Amino acid sequence: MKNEDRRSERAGGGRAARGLLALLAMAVATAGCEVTNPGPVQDQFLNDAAARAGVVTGIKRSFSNALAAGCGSILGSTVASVTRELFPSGNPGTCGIDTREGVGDLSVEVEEQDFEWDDAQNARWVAEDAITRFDTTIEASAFESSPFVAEAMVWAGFANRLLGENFCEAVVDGSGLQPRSVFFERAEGHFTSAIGVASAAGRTDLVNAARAGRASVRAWQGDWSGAVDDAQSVPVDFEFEAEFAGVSQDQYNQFYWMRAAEPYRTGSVWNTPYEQYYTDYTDPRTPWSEDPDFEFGDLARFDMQVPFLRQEKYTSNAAGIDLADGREMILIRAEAQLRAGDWQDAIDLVNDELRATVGVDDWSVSSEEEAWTAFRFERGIELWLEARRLWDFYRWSEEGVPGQMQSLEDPSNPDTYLQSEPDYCISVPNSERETNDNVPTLSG
Amino acid sequence: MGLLLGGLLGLVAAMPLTAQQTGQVAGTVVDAATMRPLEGAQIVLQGTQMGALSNADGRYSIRGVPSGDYTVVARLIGFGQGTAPVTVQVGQTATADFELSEEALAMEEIVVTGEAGAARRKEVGNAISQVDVSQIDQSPVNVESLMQSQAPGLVISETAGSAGSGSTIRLRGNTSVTQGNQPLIYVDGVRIRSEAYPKNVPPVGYSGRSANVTASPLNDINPADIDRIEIIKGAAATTLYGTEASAGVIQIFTQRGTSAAPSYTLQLDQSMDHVLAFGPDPSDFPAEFRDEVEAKSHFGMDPWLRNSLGTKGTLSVRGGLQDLSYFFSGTAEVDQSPMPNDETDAGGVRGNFGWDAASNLHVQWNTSYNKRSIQQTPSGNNAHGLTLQVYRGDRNYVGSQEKAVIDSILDYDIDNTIDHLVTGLTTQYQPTTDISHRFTVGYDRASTEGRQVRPFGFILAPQGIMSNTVFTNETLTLDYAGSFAFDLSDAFRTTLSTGGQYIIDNQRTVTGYSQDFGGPGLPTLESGGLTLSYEDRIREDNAGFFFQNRLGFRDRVFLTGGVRFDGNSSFGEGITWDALEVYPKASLSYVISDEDFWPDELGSVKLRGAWGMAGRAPGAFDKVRTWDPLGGRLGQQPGFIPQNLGNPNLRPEKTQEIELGADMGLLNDRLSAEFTWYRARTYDALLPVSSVPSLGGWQNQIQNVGELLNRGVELSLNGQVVRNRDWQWDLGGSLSTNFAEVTDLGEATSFAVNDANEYIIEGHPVPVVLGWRVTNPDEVGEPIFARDTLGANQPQWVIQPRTRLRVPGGIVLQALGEFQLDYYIHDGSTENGIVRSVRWPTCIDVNAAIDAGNGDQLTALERARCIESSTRAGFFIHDASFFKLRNLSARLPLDGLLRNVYSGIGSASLTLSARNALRWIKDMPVFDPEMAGNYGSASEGSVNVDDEGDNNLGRSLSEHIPPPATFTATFRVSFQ
Repeated sequence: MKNEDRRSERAGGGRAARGLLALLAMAVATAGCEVTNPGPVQDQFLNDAAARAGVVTGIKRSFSNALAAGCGSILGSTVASVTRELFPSGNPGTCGIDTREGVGDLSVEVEEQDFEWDDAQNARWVAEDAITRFDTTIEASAFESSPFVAEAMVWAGFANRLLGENFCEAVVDGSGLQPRSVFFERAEGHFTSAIGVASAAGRTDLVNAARAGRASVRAWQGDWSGAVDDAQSVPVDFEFEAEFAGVSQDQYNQFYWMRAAEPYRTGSVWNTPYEQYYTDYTDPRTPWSEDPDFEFGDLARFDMQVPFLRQEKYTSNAAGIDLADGREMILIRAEAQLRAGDWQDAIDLVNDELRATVGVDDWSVSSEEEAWTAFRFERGIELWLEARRLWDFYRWSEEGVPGQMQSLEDPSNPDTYLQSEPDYCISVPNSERETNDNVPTLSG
Repeated sequence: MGLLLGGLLGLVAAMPLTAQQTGQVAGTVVDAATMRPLEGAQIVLQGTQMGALSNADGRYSIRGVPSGDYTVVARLIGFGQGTAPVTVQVGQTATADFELSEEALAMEEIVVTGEAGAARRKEVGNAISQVDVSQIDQSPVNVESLMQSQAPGLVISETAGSAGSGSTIRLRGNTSVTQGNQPLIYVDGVRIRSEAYPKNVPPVGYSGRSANVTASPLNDINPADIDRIEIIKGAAATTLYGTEASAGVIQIFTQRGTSAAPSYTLQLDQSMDHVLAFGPDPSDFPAEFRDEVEAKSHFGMDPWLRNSLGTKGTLSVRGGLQDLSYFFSGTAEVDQSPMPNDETDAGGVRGNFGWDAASNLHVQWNTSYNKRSIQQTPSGNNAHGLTLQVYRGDRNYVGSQEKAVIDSILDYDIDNTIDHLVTGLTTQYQPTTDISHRFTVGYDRASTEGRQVRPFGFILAPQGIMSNTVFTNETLTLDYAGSFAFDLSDAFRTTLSTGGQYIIDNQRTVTGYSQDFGGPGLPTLESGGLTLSYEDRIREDNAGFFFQNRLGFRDRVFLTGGVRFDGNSSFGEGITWDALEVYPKASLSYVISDEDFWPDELGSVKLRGAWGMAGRAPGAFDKVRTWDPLGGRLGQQPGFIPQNLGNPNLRPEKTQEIELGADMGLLNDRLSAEFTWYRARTYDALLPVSSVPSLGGWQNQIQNVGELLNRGVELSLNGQVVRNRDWQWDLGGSLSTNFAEVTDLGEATSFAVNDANEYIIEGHPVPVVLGWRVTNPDEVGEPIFARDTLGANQPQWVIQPRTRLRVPGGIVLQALGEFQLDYYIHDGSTENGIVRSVRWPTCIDVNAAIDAGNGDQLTALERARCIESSTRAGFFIHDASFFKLRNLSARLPLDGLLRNVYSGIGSASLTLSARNALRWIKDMPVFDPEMAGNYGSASEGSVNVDDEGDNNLGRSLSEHIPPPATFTATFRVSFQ
């Protein structure tokens, strides 16, 4: 090659090298740009006033998720199976009742309880975090009358009650193990605050919800007179619900979805006290029906194909679940009377205010023992499939109140297929024990 | 971007275009031992960018060569380099013929992948595998099957027999728990999407309403377009790729044009898929049950399985005009699969253009566009799927085992359309023989439309459901590498290199969902009473640059040191100078056999060692604390729920690897051997650390806390037992091991991945299968279970034997097998059946005993494997070791026959091949280990380590059919 050509090409090479270096420099300069992706909402945006309604919606969604939304290991179905509100009839995995929870084992070894605890704690934390966020982002005067604050407080109260009614011990914000009553104390505090803020905000519905919630947690702490005071202030037709929606399966009412036949049929009224009761009384509070297309559940449980009797209390995927209502207030007043020994008036109250209003025959009792037995079942009927029954069994067992369980919820009856001593509260699970240094692991 | 392209154009414009009077160089390339023509040999004029490829007759020509003296170099994978001096005169043809000898160690062979520019194989200190497509007689089904069993340390596991199902690819095992283990894929220097396409599944409800397999972008490439594939496996080799490369790099080089007259190649494939029998082995049962077991040869699937046909045609032309060379190809394919709704219709075109703008400047522009339309049958763990209905027998969800009833499942349409465009412009400028620049700008656009419809009246969703997901992934590659080589002394030569890459990855997913149609008809998204929409957009940028120096001593000892600096938008501090990650590397290569003291009879030996680091970036959102905007997902109320706790301190996890090895050519180059030992430690591994539930219930926080260890050996032996003009018998194979272990979980606790039987546990494989064993198997009574770690979930030993026999007449027989050994897999399909009291075919004898009233005489093991109340989840786990004959082929030359018809025939052949036609399974009692499907998400309670589909860390079986045996007849002819 001629030298002239080489010089020419080297000159070209120099220009090329400079061009390439310029390109590289541009690339590096471009590399300094920040990349921000849309979609997930960054935390600080929730401090904006316009986000408050969304924050409250998130609280409600988190609570429903913990209570009974979608499929899987959720408190609603766990409580229903141990207390035999429903009998396991199908898939123990997807949308069903876990094998061990189905026989009443709620010990720490059952991994499903990780999710139940995590979701319930999440519901509590989301509500309480919102209160803290509102406290720091709303002026003090406006805070005291903000409907968003009031609503967050109400949900914080119910989230604490959900934990207290179902878990054996309390852990709050990374604390050590505490008595479960701590959840009731926190719930009462939130409800009391909510009553003040909701009143200032003119939200009667939230005032009633907070009073109804406070009535229950006061009762669970032994403050029956305080509970009755609150209960009497709540209109008998008042209802406050956890919300569900038919938009997607993860927000369906779980009890509805368990009875749906596409494709799972995982909980049946068969072999529960409510099967025969509804046959005898046709009480609209515990309806069930046979499925014309499917005689049995999705799969065999306990080595048998379980007849599929579907609950008819929740007949849509968006059906709400009562958290507090005026009818439960009647029960609180009646239980206060029973505890005071006034069993005749207690049963009269139940018969007049609850059973007569739905057109079913009165309970006929002739002793305190029978009154308690009837009352205990009445709570089951009134609060059927609302994730409240586990706490009833626990506290009545602990206190040794008079009366009997229904035969098909009594573990001494082999037909229940329950273990001999079912757990009536859920142990603080490994998900907390293995991450929280203040809570001992199973091995101590 | 515009500036960059403008700069590029300016660069090209700046190049000197010398117009001179020219001549040409031409000749032939043949095998020195057999004198057979060698196709695909690369012929270059040393010190220039000018070159050509030999055609099927071994002929080549390089046009437009300026007059002067040149050294012509001929290279072909597996052969020693040939050189010849020529003098080119204006208007004349200078001849340079080559007789290349097969060489066990092709020391002069040029490799690119993992190198700063290019390097001779003798200079490289790490193991590098090359797949020479011209040496593979079988017409591969796709690129994955082309690569399968072709390199030690490369494990390609098939996933199911469904149309479009991609495989799982691992290079030296799992080096990441959370960030995926799919190697980076490059095509002609352009990075393309590596991960599988998203699974076609509705955005709401159970994530298994699908065919539960995912397609691989790799398989969009037409295997017939490929020239060769380079594979580098560990961090010691992939350092220059930086943050995303710890799982290895696969680079595909497609064919290029020549400066010769046009040469056409036509390839026609006719294939048939046949599903080998699966289900229990009748010989395992007493004689009275064998007929009943035999009747379940495909587990009841016989009425729905077919011997499916596929037809594929590819036409390509290669040639050149003066300074331009071109390669065009077009392909069309119609391929059914054994399942009744399965079919793939595919087509594609490619245009590769080369332009010698000057003798020292080459511009290459390669572009391909492929389209695949894949119809699938619902399958896998899908209660609305065909396989599940059949396997579940009388406990299925349609309430009947009648074929007519189950056929109604086939109304469920699952359609996938894939469009894939890859284009890249590479400029190579060599101003002197010692200086080179290479700049590539590339663009990859891989998009899918995943549409599925359960129509109004569908048996399991009577009101109807449909969804449509449009996914687009764009990757922009800017890549520069420059080298300057000079002699320090007579003995020492140094090569300085520098370069940089900028990769922008953009993903967009828009999904529509609709349910509750008003009535029959063909619905669209707006047909439903309820419609939902979703959108995801993720951009991730990675920028890096590197420096490298290679010091050569007497052309036999090469010491290389380099360092790469990387920034990534997903790092906690984003892309900033302060947050650059550093990945150093060093390697040594020593061709000891070039020493004077080395006896010739010991053959040629290269010793090598390499140390280096590469990384894996966290996910795009992992650093930010975010809330999930509910949109309409609580009725109509918008809201926020916790999503990601975020970790602003995230950095990439880093894999540091050392490998030592030797390449040997023995017995007069009749035996080649490669041995590599490697040890890779991944530190700062990104693991999900469970947050304290009572502190908010944020599920997991990704933290740099873990440590993994991968170690193993790779041995490859290939020998020529017989070699003469008429006969050739090659025998060889490879063996590789991989032992991956979680050595430190840091703050993380043990956790499950995938179907909750595969776990990440300190001191165990990545992942380990955790399951239940029966401790009293032979005792009459209820089983006693003990939970135990059973073993690795990935094959720890892989053996790939091969042989090739050429007989007189030029007929070539090839066989290639693969053992995947020493791993365990959970049979979820059997478990799902047993826990639903399905009368499982493996339990025919047990059920007979129960029916006869002898259930109380059953042993604990019999009860555990057949009785719902006696078994438990996680019991059905087996040693999944297997062997498959991946390829058996016979190639019959037809050149002579066809040349009698048309003299322009270059080469012609008919190849008959069988893939996966022979199988041995060690311990799986029912199914094939390669029917795990791709689920793309973890089950409840396990960590969703990857949501792409093919990167599932663990594998377990579900309700699929195994990959079929494929029998193919391939007619291939080249002509002018």
